[in-house]
Amino acid sequence: MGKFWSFLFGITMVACVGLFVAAPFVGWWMVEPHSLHASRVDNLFYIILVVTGIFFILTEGVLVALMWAYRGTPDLKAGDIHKGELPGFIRPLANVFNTPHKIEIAWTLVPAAILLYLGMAQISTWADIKYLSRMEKQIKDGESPIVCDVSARQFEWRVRYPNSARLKEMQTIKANAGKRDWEKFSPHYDDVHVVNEVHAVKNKPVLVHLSTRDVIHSFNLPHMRVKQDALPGKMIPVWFTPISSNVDKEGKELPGKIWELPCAELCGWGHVRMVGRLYVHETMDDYQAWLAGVEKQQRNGTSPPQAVAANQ
Amino acid sequence: MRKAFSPTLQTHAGQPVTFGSLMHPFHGRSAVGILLACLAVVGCETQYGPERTYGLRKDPVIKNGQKMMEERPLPDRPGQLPIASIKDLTEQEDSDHPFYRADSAKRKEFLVQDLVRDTGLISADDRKIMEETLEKLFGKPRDPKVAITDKDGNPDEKAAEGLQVDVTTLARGSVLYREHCLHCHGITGDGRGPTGKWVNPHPRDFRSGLFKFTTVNRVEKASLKASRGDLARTLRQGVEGTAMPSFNLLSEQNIQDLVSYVMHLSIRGETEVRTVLGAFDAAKMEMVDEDGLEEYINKASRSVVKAWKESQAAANAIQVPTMAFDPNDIANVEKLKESVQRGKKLFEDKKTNCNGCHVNYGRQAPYKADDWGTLSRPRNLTQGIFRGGRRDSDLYARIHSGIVGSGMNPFGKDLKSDEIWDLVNFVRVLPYPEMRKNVGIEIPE
Repeated sequence: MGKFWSFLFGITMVACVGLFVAAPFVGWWMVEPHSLHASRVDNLFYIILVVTGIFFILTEGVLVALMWAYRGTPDLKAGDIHKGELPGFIRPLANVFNTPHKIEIAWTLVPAAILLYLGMAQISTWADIKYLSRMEKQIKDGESPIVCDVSARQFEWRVRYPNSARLKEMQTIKANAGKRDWEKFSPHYDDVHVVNEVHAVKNKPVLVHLSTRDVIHSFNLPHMRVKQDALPGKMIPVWFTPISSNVDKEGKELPGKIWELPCAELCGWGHVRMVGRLYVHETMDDYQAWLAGVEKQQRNGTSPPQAVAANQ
Repeated sequence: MRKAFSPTLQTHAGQPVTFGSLMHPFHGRSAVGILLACLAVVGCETQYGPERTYGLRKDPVIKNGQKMMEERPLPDRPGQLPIASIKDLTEQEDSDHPFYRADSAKRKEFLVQDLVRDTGLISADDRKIMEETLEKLFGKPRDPKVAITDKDGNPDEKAAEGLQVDVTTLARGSVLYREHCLHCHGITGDGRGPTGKWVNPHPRDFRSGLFKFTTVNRVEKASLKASRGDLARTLRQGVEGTAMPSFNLLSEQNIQDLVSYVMHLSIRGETEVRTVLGAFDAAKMEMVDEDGLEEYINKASRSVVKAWKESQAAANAIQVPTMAFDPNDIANVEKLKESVQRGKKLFEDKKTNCNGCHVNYGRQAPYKADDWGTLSRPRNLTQGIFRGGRRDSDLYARIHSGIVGSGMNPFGKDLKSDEIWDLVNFVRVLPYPEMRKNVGIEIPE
């Protein structure tokens, strides 16, 4: 039994590190970033990964080495450290182990400094992602963000868009700053309703009014590096700016460019099924063409419903 | 990367085994052991077992659910099903179930009045014939089929032509149904899967052959079922306001396979229901049909399949005429105003009596018993949630041909198409206070 534990922990460590090294090459890594703030989120991720990785290897290495060194000596007590057969590399450290004060100060201050650094490093990124005022800076005069209302429920995303006329009205928000409809986007008679589809335009900020009708869900767009819980009773604004498109002129996804919108909070038996799609159009015109198409379908006093149902 | 709704990637055992799950606090050997034990319990089959049969229904057949209203003061609570067995109906006293708080003698009256049929009274011999005949016609969950025979007992391949219920399609549908629908709608499509009793409203029981949100013209022919497009629409859009989610990320092929399988379940279930209601007498459930039970079942299956076939005909779909003006065009706002106001008048009119059920525009609508023996509520029209879809044509179809089984009558005969459009415009405006003001209608707060 003596060697078992050091082998187990050793193999675990090597396997973990190996997995992280191999993951990007076999396609288990994060999906490609396609939004304005994605690279900044990724940078934070890599900083944390490196810091935690180094300390993981360090602590795990010491742990394995000591387990190996003291295998088969169950009677040894903490104070008896010098009596044991110490491996060569650990001998200089043995003195430190016997001065608890110093080591305690070290393992308090070093992690505290690291955490403080991480805390500081993310502040500006967080503000850029979360504050609506930062989004407004991106909006040119006479324009508005793409607005939609995403209402999560077990197990789908119900999405509401302003219709073409209201969209046009919204475009003038900067011109008459008093009327910023997109900040609230209350339900309207003319709204366009779709299920499981979020549509956006390349290089244009998207403002999502996120809410839930039942339990907690999480709105997750991995390609946009967006993840926000939807909490019952709350309307939470989420925004992002896609920097590349994934659909063609007809609104069909390009090959290999399926951008999913999975729910990232276990919400019930159908959680695994709760997946929507993100469609980023190349130009505003494409977006408006799509919008007009859905709108027409919704107000189709002209065609028999069966025909519509068939080609939907 | 995970792919949504791909049946090949989603095994029944759940998510694929990841390295992370092996790294769980359970170390080495015990983790592997637990994993194997889980697999043994769950299994990794994507199909039904070959020995599994549909079996005969055990719950009573509800012949007239809407008449049982007086005894149903409240809807059932989560975890309760309406009338799960005839024993519950007649014997249970002081139950927690609101249905059974009523006098048990009164409940026995349901049987006497033939509102409910007790399938448990059918003799063992008759049950065996029913089971065998139904299996011969419709197969097993793993090998479903719709094998209708003609009057001489020969296989009639023309009978189900155009319904897309061939063996290959149904086999694919069966696998998909097991994965996506089974846990709510149940193996036989009885709406009593494991999660079914926890959701309100309960999942649809396909065996009654009644489908609510359809576009078939029931004014002309009340026996029509649903078109394939209707079922596909429900699968894609889900039913807003219920636990039925949207499956619009399934491929077109998968949706069509599921539609076929649901039709198969419905045809099978309704054949059984028609046999229970038609071949036996109410009091003792003894055979009354002279041609014999097997022939009766065959006859019933032919007639059910015929009704489904008729429902697919383009001529039997509701013809939705063009609205006289485009309500979306800002130039037509005056016309919309007039239309909505006419609609409001119609809504409150004696002729339609919409207010009779949708009391206070549905905000105070009383519960009503439906044909499935459950309670449902006329829609609260001020919420802007429409279960059968929110397109104008959806609302038109609801008013024109009603909602079968729920007590919502078809108005296609009594109202002209322009009048229906007026009602549609009114209903569309109703949930939005600002819009109500714009078109000049007021409803009490």
